[in-house]
Amino acid sequence: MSKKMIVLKSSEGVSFVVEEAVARQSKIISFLVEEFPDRELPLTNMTSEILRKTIEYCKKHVVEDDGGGDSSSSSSGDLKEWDVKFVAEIDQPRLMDLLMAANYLDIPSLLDVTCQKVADTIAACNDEKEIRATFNIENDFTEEEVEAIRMENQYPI
Amino acid sequence: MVTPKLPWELESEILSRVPITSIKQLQLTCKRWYALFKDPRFIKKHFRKPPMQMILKSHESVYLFSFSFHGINNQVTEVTDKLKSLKDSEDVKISKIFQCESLFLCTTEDNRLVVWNPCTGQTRWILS
Repeated sequence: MSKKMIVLKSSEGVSFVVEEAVARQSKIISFLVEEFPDRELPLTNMTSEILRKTIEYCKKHVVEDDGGGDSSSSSSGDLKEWDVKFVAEIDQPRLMDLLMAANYLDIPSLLDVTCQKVADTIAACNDEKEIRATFNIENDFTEEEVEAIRMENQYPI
Repeated sequence: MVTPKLPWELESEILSRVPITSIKQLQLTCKRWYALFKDPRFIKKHFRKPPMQMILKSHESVYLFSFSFHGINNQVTEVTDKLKSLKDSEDVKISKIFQCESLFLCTTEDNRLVVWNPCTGQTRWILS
């Protein structure tokens, strides 16, 4: 039985031909293919690199339901391990782009794993300076304000 | 955050996953985050995802350990805080600890009472 394919087009105009079952992990794509069958879907706010990563994730997570038994589906433990490696290999700016893509395409499991990775990165920072440097956040506090917050957290006798 | 296009609800979702023990540095990162950690709705959300914590009393000191089994780097176990006296330069000598929700009442060897919030590091002495 031939599998139904759909075409996803990145912001650079590069076409990716993917199995419909893979792409349907995105709730948005799932909705769109039902509403507009046989259409190519332009994803104008996603670069080819991020789209390729997203498809790679969806391919790994697709649940085969063609009666192929357990040959194609990974066990949940293996899948979790794969997810950890998948996000560990991505640098910080691309991880944020992937998180945005997961949000835009509505892929809950990818959103979950990317949000968690960002949260873990924040938690691993030693202080606020490291957090700001890692995430390119501007320090908008004055020295007096910082001092006031520090005092807030202390209750001397 | 990194990218200005990150929607506020995503930023909030991410921060709700950071263990509450990091609250001090999170509050001091920027004004947006400071405001978030004062927001009752956010606090409610945070309390639904508490980190695994353990209090250890050893040699007259009390330590807070934080574990994360949900995170990706879930092997991390670290001492996140230690109860110290704010006034004295030396550590307080703790004899007993009593827990009430997220607060700890500690009695010292010299019969003083101090309430400790290990998450925020706040302490308050009870004067007799």
